[in-house]
Amino acid sequence: MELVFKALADNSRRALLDALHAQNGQTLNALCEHFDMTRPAVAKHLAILEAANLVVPLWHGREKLHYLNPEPLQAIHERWIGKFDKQRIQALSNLKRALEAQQEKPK
Amino acid sequence: MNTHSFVYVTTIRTTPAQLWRALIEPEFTLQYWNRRIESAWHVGAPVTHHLGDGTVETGTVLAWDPPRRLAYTFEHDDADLKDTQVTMTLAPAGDNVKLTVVHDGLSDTAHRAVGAGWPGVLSSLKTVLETGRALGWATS
Repeated sequence: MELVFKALADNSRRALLDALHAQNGQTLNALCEHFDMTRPAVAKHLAILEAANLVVPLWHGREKLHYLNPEPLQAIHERWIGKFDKQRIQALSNLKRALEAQQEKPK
Repeated sequence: MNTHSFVYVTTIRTTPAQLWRALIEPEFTLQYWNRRIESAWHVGAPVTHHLGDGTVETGTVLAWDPPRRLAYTFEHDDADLKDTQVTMTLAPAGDNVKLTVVHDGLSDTAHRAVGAGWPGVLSSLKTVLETGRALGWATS
């Protein structure tokens, strides 16, 4: 789990996960188009995500596609969230969203 | 229509033979999936899922290569999963087995549904196999 938290502790890598969440199964080239990073930089971040099992590469013919793997996040969820009162967390999260939405309205 | 794939890779402390049984035997699937899966298990054979709530889902075996690769479709009309396929690949890794589950052909709705469903099911599968909880099988 150490590897997972380290992998998640970086804005660019979280953005890579978001890009895969929006469109799962992308090549390195396709992922590079979303970011203002060099190809080696994206490849390095992907390697760290793969080492943490957060991203898995699968071959489709000659194309290497990268997929999100929810397994480590599921483990974190069960370890750190599941044991708390989910309903209460949801209620607080809804409250936060409602208050923030109200704050934004008067603009 | 643009379709999505859902992918889940997990490492389970078990043997390929035991994991294979867990994927295809109704007494096992009931433990972690709350459904009994029944099939004659050969390519082209129908697959029937008897869900805990009495619903029945159907499909067809696409690949049968024990204990390495299993694939079947979901075909029942009334569900988001109609015309989708799931492929399960087992690879020994030391004392563990790496299980790769790929669910292809998903619409936006189906992708959200399996994204919410598979992680819990596959996490339970890992727990059931690693702890043997509620299972009466020998470990040999």
